[in-house]
Amino acid sequence: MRTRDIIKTANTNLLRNKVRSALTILAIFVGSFTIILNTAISAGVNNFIDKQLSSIGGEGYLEMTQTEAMESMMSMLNASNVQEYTDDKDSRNNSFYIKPEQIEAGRKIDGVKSLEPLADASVDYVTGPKTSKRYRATFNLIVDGINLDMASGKAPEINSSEYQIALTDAYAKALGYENLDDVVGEKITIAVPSTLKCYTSENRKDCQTLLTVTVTGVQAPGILAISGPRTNLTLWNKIHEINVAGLPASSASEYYQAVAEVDPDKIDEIKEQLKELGLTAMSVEDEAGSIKSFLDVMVTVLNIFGGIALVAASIGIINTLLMSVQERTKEIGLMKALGMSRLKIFFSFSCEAIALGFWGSIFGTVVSMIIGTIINAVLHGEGMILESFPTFELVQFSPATVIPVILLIMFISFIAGTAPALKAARKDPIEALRYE
Amino acid sequence: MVKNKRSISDGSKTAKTDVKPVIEVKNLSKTYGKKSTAFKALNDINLSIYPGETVAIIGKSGSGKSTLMHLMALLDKPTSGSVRILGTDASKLKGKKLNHLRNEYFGFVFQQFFMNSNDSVLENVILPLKISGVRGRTRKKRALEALDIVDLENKAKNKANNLSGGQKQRVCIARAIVNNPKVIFADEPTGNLDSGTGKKIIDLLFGLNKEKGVTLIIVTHDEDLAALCGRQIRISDGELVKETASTARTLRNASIKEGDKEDK
Repeated sequence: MRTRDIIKTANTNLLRNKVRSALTILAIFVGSFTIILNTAISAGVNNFIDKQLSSIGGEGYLEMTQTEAMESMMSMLNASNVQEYTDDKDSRNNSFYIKPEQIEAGRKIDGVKSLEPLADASVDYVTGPKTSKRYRATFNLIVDGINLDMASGKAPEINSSEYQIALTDAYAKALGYENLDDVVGEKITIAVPSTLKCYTSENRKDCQTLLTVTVTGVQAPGILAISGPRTNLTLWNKIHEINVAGLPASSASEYYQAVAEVDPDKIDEIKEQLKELGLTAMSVEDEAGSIKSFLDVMVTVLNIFGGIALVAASIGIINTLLMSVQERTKEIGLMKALGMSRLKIFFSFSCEAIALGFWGSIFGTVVSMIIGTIINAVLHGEGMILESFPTFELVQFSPATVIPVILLIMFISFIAGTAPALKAARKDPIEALRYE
Repeated sequence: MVKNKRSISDGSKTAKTDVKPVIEVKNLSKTYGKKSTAFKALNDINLSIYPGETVAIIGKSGSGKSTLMHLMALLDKPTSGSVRILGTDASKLKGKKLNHLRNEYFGFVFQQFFMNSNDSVLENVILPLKISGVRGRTRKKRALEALDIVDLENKAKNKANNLSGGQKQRVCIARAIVNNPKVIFADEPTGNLDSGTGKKIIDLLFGLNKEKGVTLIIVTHDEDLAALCGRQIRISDGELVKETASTARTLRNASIKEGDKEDK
């Protein structure tokens, strides 16, 4: 018997007892629906969190500050903790700055790809050609390892010779661009103060330098805190240069922060070694890890429910097939008499089990896709929680997540079907033909 | 009881002695159960069946005639002794070859028909071809040809359940011949039919024997039906008690002609 005939026959046999098959498929449907929808939600949320994380830094991204700075700040907040001042260099507040030797030592740690001090860069305001208003702003920097989730256009090129910036949709709208696509490629103006000059200038205007900057795109709104406009390194360095113009070299190279790109597999050891150097390093995972682990627990719990439903469904499959074997004893006898091998009999009943699993999971997929689409649409509707996150698809289906689930359910069905199928395969043709 | 081991001395058979038997049974025994509950269903049976013969296996119910048929048709394994099919010892055939042999050499007609009642007539006839792996178009064509032989081509699309008993048995015959078998085993083929329709079935089977040279082995308790066969093998309490050769060739031909008339 050809495989195609076996599959066809299996489906025909299921149709012979429509109600019974339908009920079994319904049981499988419940389990597969739960698991597939759950997987899709978990995919959607994880995907969104990953996008968020990579927009503040990827897997191998570390931000570090002087440990002492953190500690002394904490101790100063503690009223009972009064520290004695000494003439020792470390006792002064400038020990909050990351020292060049720390940077040098950090770069030598195995697995550190790059480690750069992060200069400060402050601006007074941004404005654009479509508005006369000026808006205060704090910029962030894009470094290697950061992948921005863009709502329009693309992320700035880190080392482009051009001054580039990615706005947020709030800034784009404030600058007069209702349609986020319209702002891509536009030139906006930023005002950068020179710290030293501003001490002496009577008019703030006199110490500001105006820069023309190209907008490369608009970032998608996110849930994590760091989400101001982001500049490329070229612009960032220029702003810093203007900020510190005229200051002595020692204070111009004071850095509160440093960023590193490291091998993600060694991230824990690297953090340990940086700690010995006196640097406290935070990875993106540290910041968002708790959200993810909560999500993982939730998904696991829901999947267990789906799994329990599938176990119940498997018993349904066994029952259905046992009845089918019983009813078709004579038919099995006949097929054996006509020369059908044990293996093919086994395969033909297994195929029925797999077909039950297949149809159950297909219905589960289709229904969960429909419901998922509805959920997405509802949540993005006016006044709903996801209204301001257009790129966040809560329920996200992809063949890579759905197909393994379908295959898994088919496999479970196959396993459930083995006992009845073996029973059929072992039937003695004569006994079977005699069966009343 | 006298053990019957004599060789076939019928005139029509001596002419065939140089031909290999299709089925050759030697010292065949079959015991069911073990030790104290053991029941000897067949005891030391010897017989040869030659191509183109019509053989009746007669006996009361429980005599062991069905067991003999099952063993000859390789549906069951003997406790001792051997069954040779076209000179090959069946006990040496394993799984695939055995299934193949049964599928291609043998056709079966059963008293209770064994039709898949929810399938169409055509699907039922196609089943052996499906099992042997013949592809779609060819098998449909062959099934329709087989249905044409039993005069049921026009019922091909009907549900098997909606046929009369006689029609069902004709479908079974079509199913038995669809693979062009060398041997047809018929287990009480008329047992569930009234005498009129039974006669039609008999005529059909003997017609196949005459026109296609199919060897016919009929298991029955009906003496009249047995008499129509070229040879009768009588089984009682698991032993071959008597073997007779019929001179009824003319009688059989007459019956076929009669049957033809009835059909028309």
